[in-house]
Amino acid sequence: MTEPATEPHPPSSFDAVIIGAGHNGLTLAAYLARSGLSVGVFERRGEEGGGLCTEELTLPGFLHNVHANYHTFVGLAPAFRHLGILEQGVEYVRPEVQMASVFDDDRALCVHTDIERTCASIARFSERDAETFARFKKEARQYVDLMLETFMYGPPVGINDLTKALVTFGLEGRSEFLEAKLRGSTIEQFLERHFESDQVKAHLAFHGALCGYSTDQKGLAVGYPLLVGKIDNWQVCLGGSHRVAHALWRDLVGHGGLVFVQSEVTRILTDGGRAVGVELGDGSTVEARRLVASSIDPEHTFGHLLAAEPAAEPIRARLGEVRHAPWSLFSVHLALAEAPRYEAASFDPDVDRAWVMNLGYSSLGDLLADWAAVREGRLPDPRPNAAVNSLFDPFDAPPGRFTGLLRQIVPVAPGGGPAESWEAAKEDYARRCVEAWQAAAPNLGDAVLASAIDTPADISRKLVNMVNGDWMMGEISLDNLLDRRPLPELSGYRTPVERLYMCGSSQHPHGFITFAPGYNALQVIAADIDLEPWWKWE
Amino acid sequence: MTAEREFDALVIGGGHNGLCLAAYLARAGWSTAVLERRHEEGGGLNTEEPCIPGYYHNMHAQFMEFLDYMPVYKDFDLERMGARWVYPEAQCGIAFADGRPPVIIHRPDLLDRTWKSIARYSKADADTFCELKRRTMQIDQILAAALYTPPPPLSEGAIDNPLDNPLIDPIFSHLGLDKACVLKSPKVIIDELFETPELRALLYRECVEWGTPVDMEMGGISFIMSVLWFSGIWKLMVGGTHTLAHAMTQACLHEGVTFLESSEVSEVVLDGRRAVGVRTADGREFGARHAVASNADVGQTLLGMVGEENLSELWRKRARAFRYGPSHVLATTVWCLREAPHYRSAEVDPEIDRCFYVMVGYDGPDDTIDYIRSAYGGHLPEHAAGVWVNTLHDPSQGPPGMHSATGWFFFPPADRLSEQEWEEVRRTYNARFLETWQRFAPNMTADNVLAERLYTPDQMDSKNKMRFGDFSNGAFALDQLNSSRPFPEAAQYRTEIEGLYLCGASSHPGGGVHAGCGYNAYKAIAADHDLPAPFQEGRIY
Amino acid sequence: MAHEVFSPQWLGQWAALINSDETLPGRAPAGVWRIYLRAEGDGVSPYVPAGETMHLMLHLEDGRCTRLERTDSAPGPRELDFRFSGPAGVFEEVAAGLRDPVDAGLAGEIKIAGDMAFLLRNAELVKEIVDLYVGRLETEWPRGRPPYGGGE
Repeated sequence: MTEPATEPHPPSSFDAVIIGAGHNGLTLAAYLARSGLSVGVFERRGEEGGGLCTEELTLPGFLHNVHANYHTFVGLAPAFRHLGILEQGVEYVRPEVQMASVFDDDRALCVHTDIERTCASIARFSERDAETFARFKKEARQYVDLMLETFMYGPPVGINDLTKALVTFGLEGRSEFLEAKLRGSTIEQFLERHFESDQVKAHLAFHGALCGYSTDQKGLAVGYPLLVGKIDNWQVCLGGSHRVAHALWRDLVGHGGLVFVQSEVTRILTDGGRAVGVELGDGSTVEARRLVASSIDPEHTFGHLLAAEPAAEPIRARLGEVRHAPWSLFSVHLALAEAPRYEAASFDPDVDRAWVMNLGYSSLGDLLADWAAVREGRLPDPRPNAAVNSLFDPFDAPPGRFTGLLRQIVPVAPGGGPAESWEAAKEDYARRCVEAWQAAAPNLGDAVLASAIDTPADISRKLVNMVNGDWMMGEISLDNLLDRRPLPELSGYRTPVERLYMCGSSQHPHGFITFAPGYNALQVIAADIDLEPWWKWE
Repeated sequence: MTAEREFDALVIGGGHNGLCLAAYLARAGWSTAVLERRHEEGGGLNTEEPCIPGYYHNMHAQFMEFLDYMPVYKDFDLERMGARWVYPEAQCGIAFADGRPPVIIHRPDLLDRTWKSIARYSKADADTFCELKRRTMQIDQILAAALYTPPPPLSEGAIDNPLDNPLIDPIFSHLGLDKACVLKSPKVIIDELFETPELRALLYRECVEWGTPVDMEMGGISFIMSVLWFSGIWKLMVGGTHTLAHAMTQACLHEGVTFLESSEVSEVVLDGRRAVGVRTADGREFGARHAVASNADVGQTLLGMVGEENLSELWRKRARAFRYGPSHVLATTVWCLREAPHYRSAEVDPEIDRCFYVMVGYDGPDDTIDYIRSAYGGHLPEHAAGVWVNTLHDPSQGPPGMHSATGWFFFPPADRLSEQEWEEVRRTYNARFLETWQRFAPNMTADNVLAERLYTPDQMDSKNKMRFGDFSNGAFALDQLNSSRPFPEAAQYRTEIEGLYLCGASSHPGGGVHAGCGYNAYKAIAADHDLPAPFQEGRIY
Repeated sequence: MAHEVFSPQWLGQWAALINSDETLPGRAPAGVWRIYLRAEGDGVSPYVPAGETMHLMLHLEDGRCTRLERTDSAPGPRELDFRFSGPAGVFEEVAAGLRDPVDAGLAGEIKIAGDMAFLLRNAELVKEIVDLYVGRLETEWPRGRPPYGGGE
């Protein structure tokens, strides 16, 4: 007779315990596993990925990227060359027509991978702007690696040090676009200074907005040259964004690590102010022999997981100072019977081949009006970003069908109310978003087979570490970036609790699929536990 | 055409049988790739949040009765890979609208509680059931061996005769059952063994739940499996059944298996009479040096992927004649609740409110049998279900203090209703079931329900290729079981195409989360290619 | 006295120049900072053959240059703090005063890796050491002097 087991025996001890299997947690885990540590990653949800989440939200066979849709650090993030992501089942397509704006006068502007075609498109609005853009792109492309090294894949710089260095190295004189006063400029001001056409400025500001950089926030101009450096690196992840999570998982397991899903960490265990393990929702405990790294937000980490730990008190006391964006994203995911055919295609047929669409922002004023509206808690008239990945991804919809995404910047909750107020507003707002798309591409009028709505409240419900629907995991504002993010004393990835590190998107640089916070936390961990940094100079 | 990638073995389909097979092949040293049509592995091990985020529901398989038996579980250390479970004490029960005592079957180590529960109605039945259960568990390894061993091959021209099974004598005699039971249907056996209508009602449905059509003649062995062995040994995967798929996938990754998602295989590539690879629907080609194994149903595999023109006339005939449903056709009803159901019958025995699985909607055996026969006859049955409120045992499946419930309706196969009729069913059936549910558990009011969904057989077909909604991908009928599953010539997991194997539920032992089909397919491949046999010390299969 | 570019004497001259600044130890960050210069043979430079690499290690200890020499291979991952890498021809043009090193960095011709936050914090110091390289070393170019024409 078989003795039935009455208690399972999960593994209970690792060198490194990582909280959260989003891409940053997985990236850090994979590097640590390759460095010879035993690694266990504990994830609350049923699948690894976090913001890399792909689901059949509408109909079977339609794969929707619930969060991250745009991959712009492909080949730029160190993780790509160190972890062999592209050799582990991830394939990207870099659409030739990267991004297009269709304006309210049915004209259009397209950014291509081919700079000459981009400039030709811009020139139809302003020859001068086309020439300026050509110079800007050339310059930015040259220093994109330097920018990445300085702003993304290393410890956070101080903004004062940055300004001083700009002066010391005489960068102002050498560059048309880099200057010390960027730190006091909004993206709007930057664009006004260098470009003349309303539409060109609108497109360029829209591009920044998609990266989480609002047009009206002082100081964000500092990051804008880097964005332009990679303005032509927008890539579709075939089969859905979650493929990247699977590749990281695969790499991790291939080097001895493990991921546990549906395994919410409810407590970080400490001993004399040192992190020694975690407790899971079912009460079981896991020992961390060398370190614990949290890829989730500081509020949950210090306010819940370390609620009773005295060493965490300095942070806990200041959690109210952690800043979240007053804006978020409202998404409508669509199963379509047809691909959009834009009215503006008569002006420029390339718009029908474009991936990332700006539906309607035709001037900086349009964008500024929306930013003002969302900051005041008002729902703007939808001018959503649209994308049909199926134009480039053969796997994300059944044959002859298309998966569509609409995304609109919105306040965290309509009217500044509670998150629940989205329930009453969402159906109507979704309808308006879809109508905006149909106005630009009337053939979509009959083409919607099914749709699914994702409000900022839904974002937080699904990914509890995205507090208040804050998909960039912390307000993007110069005084909340770099060595101030999320709090100055956490910005170096170490915490007041010994052997506990922060490695997620609430850390420098910020959210988006950058692989940077995990990589940066790795450097600090490697120094602390004396790991040979085999990756550092590759 | 050059293959994009070449592997020693290709496994078509990342359901749990495919995952099991892939793990063993990789461990045996073969480079192995799994091609999964969907964007995630798992097949019937599928947990979703179809209603409200935070409420998790198992959309297909619900309970795991084979974790202690399935070789892949121990051989690949699935607990180290993340599989966790709880083993509810009160396993399977039936509640009544008039508040009669429930009948509850408990875990085998708690037989005294089962005895007490049945004895409220009949001490004789309690004695009979518990003694049968006790004796059955004593031979559970032998029963398991039946699942995890390829069926005996039929010699040319022989007929698969269940009566020839040499184990019949010792098993029946050990259990103290009259050997004539071999010929009887489970219903007849249940009626002869037990006098209590309430117990019969429960056992009829339990028989069908995983295992056997209750009216299937020559159902004696199946009765022992479905009613005596499987009852009361169900575990619940913490976090939902998908965590078992995750653990299996992780085990496969650990062994070096390559996974190709969103990779629907449309064709098995042949070189003469040999399978040398596959082509996907999007035109990629992969080569297989030694074996291609298909977890897809036999019809799709042979008629679709191999192609009728490449089959012999016999195999073409056999594949076309293979039948799906009505057995094992379910609909999953999904509920997000404020409170767990509180049954009238709990006044007598509060354990029914904490029972892992509760049958709701039957007042007696006639109800149950009519229900089953209705569905098997191609009609929508009266509103009744078996329900699980997993959050009672695993709070992680719902938000704090809230409840996530699922249930199974036995429904007719997908082709019995039109698309519009199924839409109508999805719109209205749950509400009518709720009315029934409320009669049995008065707190099941509309107010108690935050959201609900109904996932129907036609959807199961399109989502998971469970043909017509049949999760066994092939009817459980005597001519399609054991040495005849899917048909006699194909029952050894090999096909008439050299190098092409069957490893899914269309093969023995059918549907259910036992990974037996994958395990047995491995044995066949191992025998053909001189790979290590998967036997471990102390295991007879 | 002039020495051949990249020769041990030339490097010695550079080290001597760095250490001639008595204020440096007071201004420089404490500790050992190891800078690796990696010049790739680019088919243009006559001093580093195509396909070969010149490795230079410069150590600054509390503001004094304690090591400045060519090595046979790249340092191990724990043996350096900064790396400046690029085609040998670019380094030579910088040494000849024909190319501004900051321009070369901005143009992506010389790649910089290492703790950028530290580099920025110590921008002035970095500029000084670079200026020394550019400005005040007497250099001989026996195999040809940049800028290099085509077909050399």
